[in-house]
Amino acid sequence: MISQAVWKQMEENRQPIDFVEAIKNEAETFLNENSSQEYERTNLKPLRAVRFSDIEAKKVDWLWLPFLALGTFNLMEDEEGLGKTFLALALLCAVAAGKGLPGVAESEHIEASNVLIISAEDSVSYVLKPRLESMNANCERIIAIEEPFTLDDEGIFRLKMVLAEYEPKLVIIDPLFSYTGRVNLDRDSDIRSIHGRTQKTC
Amino acid sequence: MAKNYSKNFNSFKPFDAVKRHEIYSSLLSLLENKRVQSVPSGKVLPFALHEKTKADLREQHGFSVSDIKIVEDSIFRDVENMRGYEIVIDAPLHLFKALENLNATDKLFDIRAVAVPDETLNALICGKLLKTFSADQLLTVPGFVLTSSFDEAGNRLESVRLDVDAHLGRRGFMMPVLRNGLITNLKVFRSQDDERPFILRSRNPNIGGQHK
Repeated sequence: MISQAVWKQMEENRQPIDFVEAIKNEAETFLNENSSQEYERTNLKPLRAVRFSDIEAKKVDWLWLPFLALGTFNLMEDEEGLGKTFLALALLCAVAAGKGLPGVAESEHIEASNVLIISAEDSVSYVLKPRLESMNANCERIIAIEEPFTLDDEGIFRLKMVLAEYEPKLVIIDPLFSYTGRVNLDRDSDIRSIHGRTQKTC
Repeated sequence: MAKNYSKNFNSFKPFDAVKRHEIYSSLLSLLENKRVQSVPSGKVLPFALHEKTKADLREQHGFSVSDIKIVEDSIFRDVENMRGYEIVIDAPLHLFKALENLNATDKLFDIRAVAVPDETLNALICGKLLKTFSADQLLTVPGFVLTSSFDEAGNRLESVRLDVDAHLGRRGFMMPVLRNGLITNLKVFRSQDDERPFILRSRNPNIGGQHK
């Protein structure tokens, strides 16, 4: 009596071995396991790529030449107590009132626009509002975010909803690292991912 | 360093597969003992190619084990058409008898079923394999194990052996497991009616030898 397992193995082994063909098949299997099948399993789409011939060159629009360009991400950094927040508020007031900024010709002043401030360090009621009033700010056009959030995918999406509603010309995040969540600030890759998302939002 | 085949089958590179196939193929060739025999006189030509000829082909002409097998097979095919000679292989006895009862002994050709070797044949076969492959190469293939013993003078002797129990040699036999036409493992049947055969594994935990 011969078992089914023996019959099965005998049938499987009956094909003569073409060695060259076998190596080709083995290499093909190896490549398939490592490329296309992997791709099909994950259901991910390839990254979007574009030719430079299809990209339209655009002129940079400046909010404050040569410091702040519209649609860009800028960092302001210095030691504490030197007045970064004061300068940021002054910028907000100027843009909200349509006054123009130092060194900008009157013809290039932008019209009064909404501005947005996202502040984690200073109280909106006790610190920011008195400072803005002392600067005679147009508080109708200055918007603050009251809710804490992080600049991850969900946070950026919710921020974009606010940007779409108020269309601010200038957004101040003070300080940026209060909104980065639980990333390791010593790691370049973590910081770059935050910067990349924020830059794209701009 | 030994590759880990069991945990991630993707690390099974084509080159490793070919090397494994060559080692298993050589082992099976030695065990199946395929030879040409004269029909009237029973005179046996032990091998199509002499061991010395094979060594010369490898060393001087860069032939691999598989190349030599292709040459040998072509010689065997030529002999098949010659009158007065036939090709003989050593089939596992109990499998042969079972197939004989079914008038199906012709199925024994090409499936490369070989009897499990006893301890002496195991040592002889491994000695022959070590002339072609290094001990390190053999030990990266599932089914081979490094055994150690002591001689009368107390010297430690280490040798490579096929890791299969010799008592299975009475009724047991082995057959290759193929993937894409390459031999990836050896499957051991305890007898011709064994429904639960097992695959030879390595005792080294880093070499799984799991056939996917």
